[in-house]
Amino acid sequence: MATRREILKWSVSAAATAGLPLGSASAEVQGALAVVVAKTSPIKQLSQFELKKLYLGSIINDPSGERIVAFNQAPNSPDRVAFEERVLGLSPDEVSRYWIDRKIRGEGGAPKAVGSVELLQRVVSKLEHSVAYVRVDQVRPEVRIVAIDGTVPGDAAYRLFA
Amino acid sequence: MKARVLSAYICGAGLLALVAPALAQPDPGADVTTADPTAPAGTAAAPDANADAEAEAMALALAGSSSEATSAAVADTEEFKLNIYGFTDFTYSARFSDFAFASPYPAFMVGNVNLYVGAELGKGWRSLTEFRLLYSPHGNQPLNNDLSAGVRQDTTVADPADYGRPLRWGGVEIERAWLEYSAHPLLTIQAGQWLTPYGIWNVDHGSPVIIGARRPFVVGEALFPERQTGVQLYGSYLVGTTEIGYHLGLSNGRGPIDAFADLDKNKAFTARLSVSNESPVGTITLGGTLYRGRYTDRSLSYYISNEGRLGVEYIASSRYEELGLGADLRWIWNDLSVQGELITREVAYQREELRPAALALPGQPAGFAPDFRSVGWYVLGAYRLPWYNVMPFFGGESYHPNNGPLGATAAIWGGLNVRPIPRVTLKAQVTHAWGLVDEGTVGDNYFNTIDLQAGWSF
Repeated sequence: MATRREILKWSVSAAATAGLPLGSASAEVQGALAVVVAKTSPIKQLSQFELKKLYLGSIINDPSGERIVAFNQAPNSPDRVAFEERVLGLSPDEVSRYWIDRKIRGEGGAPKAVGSVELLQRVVSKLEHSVAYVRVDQVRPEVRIVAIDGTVPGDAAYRLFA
Repeated sequence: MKARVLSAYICGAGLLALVAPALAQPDPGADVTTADPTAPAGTAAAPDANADAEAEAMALALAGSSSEATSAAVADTEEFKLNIYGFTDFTYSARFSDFAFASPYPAFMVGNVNLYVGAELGKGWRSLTEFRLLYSPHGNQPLNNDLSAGVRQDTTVADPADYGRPLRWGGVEIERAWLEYSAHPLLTIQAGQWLTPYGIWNVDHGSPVIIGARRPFVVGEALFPERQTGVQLYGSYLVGTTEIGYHLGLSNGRGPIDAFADLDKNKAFTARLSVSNESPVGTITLGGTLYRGRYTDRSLSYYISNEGRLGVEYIASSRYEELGLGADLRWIWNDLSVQGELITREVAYQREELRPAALALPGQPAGFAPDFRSVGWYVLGAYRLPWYNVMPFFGGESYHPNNGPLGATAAIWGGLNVRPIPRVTLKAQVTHAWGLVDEGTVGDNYFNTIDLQAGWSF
């Protein structure tokens, strides 16, 4: 017999795959941040460490050998703050310091930010080597969710929550 | 009168119009937001076709270097953006001991005014040039070999824009200037002048980034060349939660004019390997660096041969082989940061006729400089407190130059590093160094100083 979590996981995966809105999913799942890519993207999964390095400016290639382009939500938006705390382990001030210090070292700048969640996903859907993050209930049909450390929103082990 | 008031309003409005967008820009350190916030965001009311077109345009403009189409857009002169930023520091230093080699006069100083000009050129290409603006050479007073003071340089000229009143011009130091191409996470090729990728401090480099107000003495002594001109390859590879990185460099090496010329046929080689692991006890990075090169100085001389032909010869005036080895460790666990570096440099003069004369100190016999091995290390610990981003730090260092009049030295230092906002760093550091010279040669053989510094990035 399927557990509640399995049902949630199945419904999230099925809805994301089918491009259906997740408005009816439980509050627990709705609070999760999903990492999304274009439907045609070769990116199937990422480790949380890869995701962290990617959003800290490291060069990470996707399975096709292309460089992954990371997109952020608007500065200080609640989801971005939550993502950076969960994935990067940094507060907004620490994130600012990190990028200032990195630029003075001569290293690359921060991922570009797109203000609107909808536009962000439309942009990601146009670039098959890009990733972004949004709340599960905001996932649009033109993108799909990728697994992080082998888990997707709804899994007990999933750790990305807003 | 009314016309004057009106023109003042117009000028003021014009200035405001110029300044307002700059003030309205988001903090580029926190993010590089290029999306137009005023653009319609493809809301449900907007037609899908319009939203898609907008997303397409934005994808092209934002995505940097990932695809052919994107690269074309970024390379387009209308999309191209030059990124200009930098940092400055302002320091007050006061000495509290009778050490002859440091000025007894407390002073304010603008030490670094560094400007960066960087650009994402598209398709994995990136460039960066860093300039340090200097008051020098004005005020430089060289020390001659016989220990006498040279004449202070004076760059005062007549200012043509101000009735010929005195103007003191300064210089520009090119800290680095390179072009790089990222082909793969494992391979980025960088060509130009770059900071030698040894240890931690030399790469951290800028005063807002480094924790203390002064570099550890051994880092300032440049046992590795601070920067090199040539080509370097670097990259990294992830294995689980471990990142393995490397640098390989080929350059002119150290020389009197190494930024633009090599005075021998020997190219210097630099190799660095680092391993960084992330675990529940933080991130630990271990690195090792090797530098092997030959220093040569030559002077140019013209001559007329017996056959009456004009010739040029390059006469060597100094040459030595050097080997630099460095190891570094950094441990960052939440707000705790610990770092240390061990650096050695061996110098060997291969030709006796090019061995320099040793600096003759009073009471010591004249002679030639021996081959030598310099060794130094430092350790620094710091903890960022939860209040006002205050970070107390404490460290120690030791340096054995084994060359010249400076004896083995050691120092302890400590202070506070405060970042009230991410772009401003305030530091206070007290340093106590001892064993700086052979006892009795010059005044005290210890050195106490306090440095108060404000560093800011812009």
